[in-house]
Amino acid sequence: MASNRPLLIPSPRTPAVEDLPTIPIFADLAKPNSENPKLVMRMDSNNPLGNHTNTEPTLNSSSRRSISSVQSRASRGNSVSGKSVSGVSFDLSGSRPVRHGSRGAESDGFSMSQRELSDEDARLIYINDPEKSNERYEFAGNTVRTGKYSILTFLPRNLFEQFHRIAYIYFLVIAILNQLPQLAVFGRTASVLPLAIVLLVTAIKDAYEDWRRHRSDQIENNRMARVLGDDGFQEKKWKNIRVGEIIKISANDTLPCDIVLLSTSDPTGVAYVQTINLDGESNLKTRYARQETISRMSQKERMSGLIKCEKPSRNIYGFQGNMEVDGKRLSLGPSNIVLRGCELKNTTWAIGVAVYCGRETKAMLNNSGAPSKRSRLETHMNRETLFLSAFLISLCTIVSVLAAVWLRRHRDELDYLPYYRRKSYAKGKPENYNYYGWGWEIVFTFLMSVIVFQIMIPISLYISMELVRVGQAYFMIQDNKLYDEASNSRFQCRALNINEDLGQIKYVFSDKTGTLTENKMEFQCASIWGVDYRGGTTCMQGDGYSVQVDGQVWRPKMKVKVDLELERLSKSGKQTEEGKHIHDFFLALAACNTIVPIVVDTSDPAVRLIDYQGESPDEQALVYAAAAYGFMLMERTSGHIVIDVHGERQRFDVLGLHEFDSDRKRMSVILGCPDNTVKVFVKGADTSMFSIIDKFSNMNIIRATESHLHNFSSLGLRTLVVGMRDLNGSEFEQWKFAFETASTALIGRAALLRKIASNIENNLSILGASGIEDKLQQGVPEAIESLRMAGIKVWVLTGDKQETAISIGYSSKLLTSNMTRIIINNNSKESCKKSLEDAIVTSKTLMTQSGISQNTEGISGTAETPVALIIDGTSLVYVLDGELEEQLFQLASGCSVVLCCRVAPLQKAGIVALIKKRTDDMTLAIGDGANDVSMIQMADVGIGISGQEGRQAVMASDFAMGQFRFLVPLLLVHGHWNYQRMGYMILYNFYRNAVFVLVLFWYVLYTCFSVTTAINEWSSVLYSVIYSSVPTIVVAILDKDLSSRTLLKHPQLYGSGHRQECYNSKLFWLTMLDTVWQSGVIFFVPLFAYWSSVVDGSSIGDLWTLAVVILVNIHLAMDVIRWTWIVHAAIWGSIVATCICVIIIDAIPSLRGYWAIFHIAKTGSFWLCLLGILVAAVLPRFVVKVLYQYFTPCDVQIAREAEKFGYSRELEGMQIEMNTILEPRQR
Amino acid sequence: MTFHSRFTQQELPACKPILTPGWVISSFIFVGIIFIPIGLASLFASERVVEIVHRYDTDCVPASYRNDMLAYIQSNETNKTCTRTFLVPKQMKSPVYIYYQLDNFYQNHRRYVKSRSDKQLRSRASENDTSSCDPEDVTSNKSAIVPCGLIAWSLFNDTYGFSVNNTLLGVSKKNIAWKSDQQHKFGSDVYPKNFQSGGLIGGAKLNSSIPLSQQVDLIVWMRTAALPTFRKLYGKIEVDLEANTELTVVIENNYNTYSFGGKKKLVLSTTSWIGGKNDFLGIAYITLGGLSLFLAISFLLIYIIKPR
Repeated sequence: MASNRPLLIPSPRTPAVEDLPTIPIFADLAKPNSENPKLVMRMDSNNPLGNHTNTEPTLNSSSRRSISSVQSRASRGNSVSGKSVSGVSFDLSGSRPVRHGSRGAESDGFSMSQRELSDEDARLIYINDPEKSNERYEFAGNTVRTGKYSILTFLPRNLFEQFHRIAYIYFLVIAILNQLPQLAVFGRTASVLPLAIVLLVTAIKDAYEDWRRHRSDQIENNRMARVLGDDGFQEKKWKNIRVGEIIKISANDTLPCDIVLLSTSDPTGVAYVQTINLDGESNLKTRYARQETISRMSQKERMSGLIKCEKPSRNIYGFQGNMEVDGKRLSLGPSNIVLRGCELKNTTWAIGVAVYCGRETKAMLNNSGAPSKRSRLETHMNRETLFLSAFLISLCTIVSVLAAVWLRRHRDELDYLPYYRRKSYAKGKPENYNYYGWGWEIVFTFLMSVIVFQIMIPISLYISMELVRVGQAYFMIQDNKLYDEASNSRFQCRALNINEDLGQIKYVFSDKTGTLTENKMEFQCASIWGVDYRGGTTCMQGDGYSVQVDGQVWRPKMKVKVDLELERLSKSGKQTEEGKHIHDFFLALAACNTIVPIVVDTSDPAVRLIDYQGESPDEQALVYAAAAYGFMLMERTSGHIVIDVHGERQRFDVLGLHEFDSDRKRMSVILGCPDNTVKVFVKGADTSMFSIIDKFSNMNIIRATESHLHNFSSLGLRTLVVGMRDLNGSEFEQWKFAFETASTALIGRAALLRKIASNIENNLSILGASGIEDKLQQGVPEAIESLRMAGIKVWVLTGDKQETAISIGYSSKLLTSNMTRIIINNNSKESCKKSLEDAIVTSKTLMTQSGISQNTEGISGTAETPVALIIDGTSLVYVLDGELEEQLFQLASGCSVVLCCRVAPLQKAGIVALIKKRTDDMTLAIGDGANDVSMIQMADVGIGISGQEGRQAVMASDFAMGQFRFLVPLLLVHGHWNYQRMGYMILYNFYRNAVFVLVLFWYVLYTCFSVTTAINEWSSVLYSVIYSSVPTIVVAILDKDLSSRTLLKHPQLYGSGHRQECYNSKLFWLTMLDTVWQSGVIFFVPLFAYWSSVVDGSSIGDLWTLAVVILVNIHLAMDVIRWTWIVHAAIWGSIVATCICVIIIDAIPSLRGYWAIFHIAKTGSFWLCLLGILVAAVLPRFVVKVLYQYFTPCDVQIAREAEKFGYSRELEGMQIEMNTILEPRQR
Repeated sequence: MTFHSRFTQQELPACKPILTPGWVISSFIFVGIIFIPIGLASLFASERVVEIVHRYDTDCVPASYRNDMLAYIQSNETNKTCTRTFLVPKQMKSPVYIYYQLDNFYQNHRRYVKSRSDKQLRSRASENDTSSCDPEDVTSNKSAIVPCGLIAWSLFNDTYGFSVNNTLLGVSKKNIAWKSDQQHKFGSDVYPKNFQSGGLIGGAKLNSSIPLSQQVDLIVWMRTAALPTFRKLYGKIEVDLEANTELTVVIENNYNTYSFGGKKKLVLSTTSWIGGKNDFLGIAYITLGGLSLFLAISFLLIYIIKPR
């Protein structure tokens, strides 16, 4: 490689490739090999382009191909890719020389194979040549179609989707059965009607939503963009843009598709974009055009080239590709692509080539629905639905068996029985009509009973539940208690089917940063070269540090408190040893980051503010701090940064930048300094930093820094360690070569880069450490206190250091001084096992002690010694391996608080899974960052905080909100309500349908088991759809068992959800018992009253209909807790509506029951029956309810009475409540 | 607070009833106080109804045929006339309703209930609409039967003639069928046709010169009963019957219930506001009322003895 290159080359982000050969990867391979064979081997293995260029035996080639495919797979699952890459590289080392030798001869074949490979793994885009780009593969056009249906496909497709629900299939099968002439129980229309109503309503809703989507698509598709044509840029509709076309975007325009930047108005090729539409982050992000393309675009000639990039993927933070322009290959990464939906800001124009269009854009690929989970209650409900199915089948069996017996006993009479008449004489000789033999009659009877009793399975319940959840979600979204004024964000319900799970949460797993804390970082103190600059006087400068630019004053937007001593020293310059280190330290803070300074005008024309925009709040805080101490970052382009060091403008070339990743836990930047030296600055977490610091040179300083770090973190500060190293020429060359090759790799690039970064980041000399404060969010201690009182266990899982975590634990009241702390830090499996076992013993003794003390102190004893478990990530590695999980679970379930520090994202999910596997308790995970996503998805309920760290957590969550403290009203109030409402609604719906079916069943017993219904077929069909559906939905949305004030005041009331008070098997069976009684009363009272009377079927059917409907509504009314006018309207309105319906049905002359209701309503016994039924039916339930409430009132009941009659009885009530909370723990 | 914000914050004004001892006891007492008088009133009303029930299906078969009643009823030769006398126990105020009561006759059987054509009954135009009338839909030469179906075919055909002291009592058939049925369900232009002309005769024949809307017995019969034991209105006697009057009934015993063991009864009854004679509701109400009072007292005791 060219060793005579000047040191100040452009940044590797835009590597100067002029002096590289066309195929740089294997050029002069031998030389670096001899210096660092390991490095090159890795590159080989990761450059599958070479795999086919060989004269080797085919066996070898195929084996390699398989290896390369393994790699590509491995690099997708990026957590393991690092290992697999290095492993493979050794395997391949033997074959390397062969390929080396064959290279020259095979160069043609090489480019061939390159194309072949691209066919499989990449898409090829010919810049400015859409025809050629699209000729081989039909890339998607830029038309977006978010609408699901077209006019033609609407009907079949919508029906197909609706019938995905099992309930509808059941409906359909029943309706089809009913169409068979032998089974026609209901008329054709009546049997199809309910299904048709449901389908129609859903279809109308879908059609409306789709129409809106179509309309917005149309607006979107017809927006204009400027596309390069034969004579310059021309306006073109979005929908006509094709892959390969060159597009020009002006400031504040929205991107029509995903483009690779070619050039921007900025000479260095920088473009700023806002991705608020994509991920909700409002800060500006920088994107770069490659240096080479910038020059090409400015040459005014027709641009051409080939971009090879990965297939469309959903990952909005990843992009890999390379570009061949003028025979040079340039690497492309996420920083070169701008995605559809972004807006161009602070950049006059940008030009790019479309790479993904329409539905293949990352924005559209991410346009997927919310995650779907199934609620605990629904799972339980399904169990009871099975019971009901069994019940239904047994009812049908009873009917068909009895029918069989009846037919057998009367088999000789059937021919002439006036009401059976098996024989027909109409056609001359007698023949059977509608009779298919004894066996078939039984089968038909069975099927007919299934049709008649179909609503035993509460089909309408599924639809009601959906409606209710929408209603509940509406109230959660509207609740002002969940509204975050600071970020103007409302609560979001992303998953619509787990509302009621919020009422049964037992474990809360919380992230710390951004969840418990605000994630607004503030630089607090620094330790530089072993000196802790704290304790000196700090002050807020009047206007902060500022610099003069062109007669204007520029100052940082945010002011930082500075330590006067440190400021004085930093001003003193590099003369002293101390000053030199301070200089380097702040230089590192100002340079080693990805922050972009953006200059903003203020109302005062003489003053401009520098706003540091960046993705990491920590970095922002550090840059602001550096600025306050006189190291002001002024400008950042892809190739250099400008830092104003105490008034002296200095330009540093950014030669390389290894971005932060969670494996390395550090980042580094390689700077070409004005004094022509090359330095690498590294900053990162202390664990990862101390391992790469040169231990032998500055032992004292390292020790001092370590102790300072300990001090910082016990104050709750986040710490970062900064180190640096000078690079000599050969080191730099070696790195540069490796970096460039890695940067253009198409596959496994991330892993390669990580490896290269680790190679350069070593033997550092320590500069110092910084302490950043992350303030607790408002109301967090109170929230944690409430959750604890509600019997919810709060676990905090954080990536922070143990000391930081503990101190945050204290300040958030997670840990209290009366707690016994058990700390587990281990480095091996054996020691981990031992300490876990010890800890279990300790916690057991503590628990029993507390148990005894409780007994002696009686009921009011709250003297339990709570145990707090603190465990770190290293120990968790051993625990989550498997065997020790059980021990940890035992230990943790006894502890009231668990703090896990230094955990990796996957460990977070592992911990949640550990609890989920071993208990039935509901888990909730709450977090705000990308590192919480796995945990959020693993937990039963995932909550995303829409905070500073982007929206990935929110995208993965079921619910999203602005602040941690909203968890309290969400769980304690809404969760409680939702659970109570949904639990009651399910039971009520089971009851409501079963009571109706049983009335039908009793009647069948009096009709020779021939499955006749006295109740009009229309009433049967409308019963669960119209007559009784509205009140239950309204009540399930609006009823509140307790006011939110009471629920918040007494968090213990949340326990009702833990104890499954509102829905359990006992309640189900009690309800079913009640159902049998009520149906019996409804049926038999009229039966006895009208036995041997003139009453006809239709009239008594009307009586039964009205009795059932009024009774189920009265039953509901008895259980309603809060009567608002809406509930009144729904319940009484539903009764009135039923009467009207019955009257209307009886006013249709073609129906059998014509005028029946008017005839029967004229008789006194009708009204006596109705009144008697209602009172007799609800009497047992009423008595049981009164007795139950009087003798064994539940907490909710007590609180309700307290609420009603003031708080005079509160003390008494609270004691009982405390009992019930403590009870399970003693067991 | 506006309505909207009250609604969204779920703070609408509401009434929150709670089952306090006072409420519980007073509601039980209330039910007791309401139900016992109603029960007494309906028992009293039921008591006042005078009802004569006379079963004649066996008695009206001559002793020689007792072993084979089916043969007797199916034969054309046998004399079906049967005369019975009974005493009127109490004074019966007019109108005295005459019912026939059938036991064990399942007019609510699925096959039976469906075997009719409401369209055909209503208008002459749909005379041939007999698809639902199996097995009595058409005659053997394929012409439609009007009224078709099993229900009409099995029309009850016993007749009763009443006399007191050899004076015939008029039996009025006025208003025995529902006006609504006569006006809207049975057409005034629909005349019986091909009725009971098949091989198997089920019951009464109809005068084919009278439109269906005037065939009151048919209309009454076609309002199929809800339960297997039912009464149908036969007619009314519009004079008072004094106590101890000896009433003679001449029964034409034609209807075949013998094939399936059905009972036939003749019922004479006055009426009251609760309908016919039925003590069930009265007893049920008194029981419920008594139970409520008992519960009220029990709860009162519970609250006194074991206050919370």
